[in-house]
Amino acid sequence: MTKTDRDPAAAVAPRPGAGTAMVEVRDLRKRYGPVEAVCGISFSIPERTIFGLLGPNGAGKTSTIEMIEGLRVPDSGSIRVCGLDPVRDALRVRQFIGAQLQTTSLHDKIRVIEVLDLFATFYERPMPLDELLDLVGLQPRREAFFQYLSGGEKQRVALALALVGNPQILFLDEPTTGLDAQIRRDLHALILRIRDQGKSVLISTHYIEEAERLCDVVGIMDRGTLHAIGHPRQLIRDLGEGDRLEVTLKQPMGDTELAGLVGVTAVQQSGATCILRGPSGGRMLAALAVHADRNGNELIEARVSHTSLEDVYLQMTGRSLRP
Amino acid sequence: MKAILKMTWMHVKLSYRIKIAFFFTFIFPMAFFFLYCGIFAKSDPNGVAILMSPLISLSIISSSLFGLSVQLVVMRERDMLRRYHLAPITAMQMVTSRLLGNYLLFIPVVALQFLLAVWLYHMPLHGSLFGLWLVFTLGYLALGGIGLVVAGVVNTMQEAQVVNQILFFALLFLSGSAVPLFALPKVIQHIALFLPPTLMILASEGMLVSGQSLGQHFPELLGLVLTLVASLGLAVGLFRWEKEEKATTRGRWQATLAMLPLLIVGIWLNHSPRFIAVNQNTLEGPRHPSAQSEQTAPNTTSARPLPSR
Repeated sequence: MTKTDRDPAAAVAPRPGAGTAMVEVRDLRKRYGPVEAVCGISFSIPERTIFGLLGPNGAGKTSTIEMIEGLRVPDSGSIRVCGLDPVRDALRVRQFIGAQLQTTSLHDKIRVIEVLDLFATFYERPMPLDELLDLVGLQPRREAFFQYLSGGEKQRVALALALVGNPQILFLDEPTTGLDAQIRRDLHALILRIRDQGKSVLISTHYIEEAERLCDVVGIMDRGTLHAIGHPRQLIRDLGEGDRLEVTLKQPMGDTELAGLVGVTAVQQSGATCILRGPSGGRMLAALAVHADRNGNELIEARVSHTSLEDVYLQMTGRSLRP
Repeated sequence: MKAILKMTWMHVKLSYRIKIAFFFTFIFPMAFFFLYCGIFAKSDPNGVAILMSPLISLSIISSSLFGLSVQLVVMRERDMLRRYHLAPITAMQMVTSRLLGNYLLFIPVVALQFLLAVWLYHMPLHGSLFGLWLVFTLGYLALGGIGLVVAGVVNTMQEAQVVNQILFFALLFLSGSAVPLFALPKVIQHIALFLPPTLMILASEGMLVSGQSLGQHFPELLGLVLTLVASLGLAVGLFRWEKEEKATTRGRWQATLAMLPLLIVGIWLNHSPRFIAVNQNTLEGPRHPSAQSEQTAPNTTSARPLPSR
């Protein structure tokens, strides 16, 4: 699959039983001085869907989310959130969206319950606070000052603030960045629960595992461009299911030489590392080991794994998401 | 309305919890109260009455610029306003709640200062308390509005500090808040009539010291109301939620519009013999309050231009 054979906007089919799209983005563009942060992207988010924007820092994810939230004005293109323009109808749109920023700053001396109570007054149909505290697991910390909360608890407060207005659609901008594995898992479970309550979620992340685990639909984004959209498994299937062999050789080998090995269907070079794809990782490894030995070469490092979203990312953007 | 009241109340609550805010809201004005009454007025009841208005004016200038204005810039710089921006609230609601919150923090301090002035220093209370409350309220809100305009035209805390320091000292020394109006040269007195603290001092001192009525100080009240409306409107227009959004040159020029009502009122007052007559005692110097009340009644005083020094 290449960039040209997939229309990202058309790739998203509403889930069975779902109604109209909660978010419609068409040819969205945003430029900061000489840098084009978002280069004409289009996608839509159906109801009851977790939509993930996957990409590294600087890919344009935050700019995209902030334009949908109405925090930034697009240079061109159109955005509709439940049929409304988030800039022109900002107050109406904000009644039924909830948003978690990458970092949330609040008064140090405000208590958890106080900040939720304060924000609840801004909305027409706020969630009952006890229910909200139970949902995000902050009931035991309801009287704590914001300054004394751990990083994970602060993220939960931010999530609770996003949920307090009982939103139809939730925007989460890298909600698990900097959190440890356990807290991240807890938050994943919470986000899935929120989706199961009938809400749509737009989440940005640079964690492959997070996108694979959480998202019903993933948009692969890099340098302001949306390269592909689809269900994670579908994107992997489109790439070709099977195994990948990531190998580092003492002496580099050419693409043609590697492609000629038994069981290898595709070859990709990424710096000093070669990535081979084929139906069986074991067969590719054995063939490569024999070939290298015969030619006086040596395998320094080899790793066999199933094709993942990371491979899709690599295929689409030509570079790895991992540093 | 519910959102404004809730934000206002939360602002008041938080100010009681933050030590530095508590210091500047309560301790700092009370320290100046004892300085003005005990040392400058030498505990003399009439002297205390004369210095009450400048003292309160000082508190208001300080609270508007270093409290209200700086708080908002800090909130914007620390990205606190971003979180509010995502909620369905308007700039008007945010600005109004900040102004009301600071006003609610200020009023108990003024009440306490008045109580202590009467109880400890036996300050005579002439004029209506309602009138005094109204003058101080309008004075606070007008100057607070100017503080909010400053928050809208600066980009950083450093800029806010520079602009606020300049405004603070200008208002302090030119308005009769630090140096009594009667002690200022004539040319400065003319300039002082363009400044909101002067309007507040003239009206409150006239009522408190000379027992004048609220109606006699209609021009000052009008000046304060016009300043409040202009500055609040501009503060809302110039309000920015995001620190990345920078103040524009156009916005800064617009901010000068807040000065327009002051300019009009200042020119009017400088050329109004009736106004000069009503405020003659404040502008010329303290006399015994019992004598002043009779002398400054508008229908018994002949109108004459601002006294030359």
